[in-house]
Amino acid sequence: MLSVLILSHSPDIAKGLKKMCLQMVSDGVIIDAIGGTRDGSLGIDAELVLTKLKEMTAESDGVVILGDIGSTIMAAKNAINMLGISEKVRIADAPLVEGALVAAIEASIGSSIEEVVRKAEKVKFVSKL
Amino acid sequence: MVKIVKRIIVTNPEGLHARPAGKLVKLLSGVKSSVIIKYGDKEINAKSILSIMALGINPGEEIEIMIEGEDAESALKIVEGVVCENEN
Repeated sequence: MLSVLILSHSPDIAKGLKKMCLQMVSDGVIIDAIGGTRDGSLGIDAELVLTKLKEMTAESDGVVILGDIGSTIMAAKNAINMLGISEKVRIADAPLVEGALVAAIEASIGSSIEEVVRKAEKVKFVSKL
Repeated sequence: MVKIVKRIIVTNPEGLHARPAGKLVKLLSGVKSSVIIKYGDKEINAKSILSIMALGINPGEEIEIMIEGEDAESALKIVEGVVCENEN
């Protein structure tokens, strides 16, 4: 089973997006989200990212990370390097909301980590109108 | 190659939004046939979650299903199962 980890500067976005994903897929994937700093303001708790990523890689076959902007991706990259687990983790270069939904569905179907990332990244080119 | 075209009224009380859309994509992932949903002037791939959600289909609305492939019959059963699902 794969995991999807959502990272946002906003605790509300992280919480809300996790809820959206869980509404669409009830099983076959582990979904978690981290948002905001330790005191609940906008930012990212890099330490929590590290702990969570360690936990998720231990309990699943691989983790796909989606972040909103800048430092969430940096926190993810740092955590991957520090844990030395790059073979089990991928950062999807995708819009956060749409990418996370697609990644969650794709992972729940049982696709490979590469396929999950590929599908999530493809949403960059999906027109909404 | 079997080809099925069928009009269906969406009776699932949730329409084709988050939960049913996710379920449909998940179930159709095991199907080989191509499955197209036609709604108004739009035609989308029913195996794509974002495409289904972009349609925003409410309960009571009519869609047209176009399925083509060797397992078209079972694909139709899946679509009807989700679209016409009524948990009450």
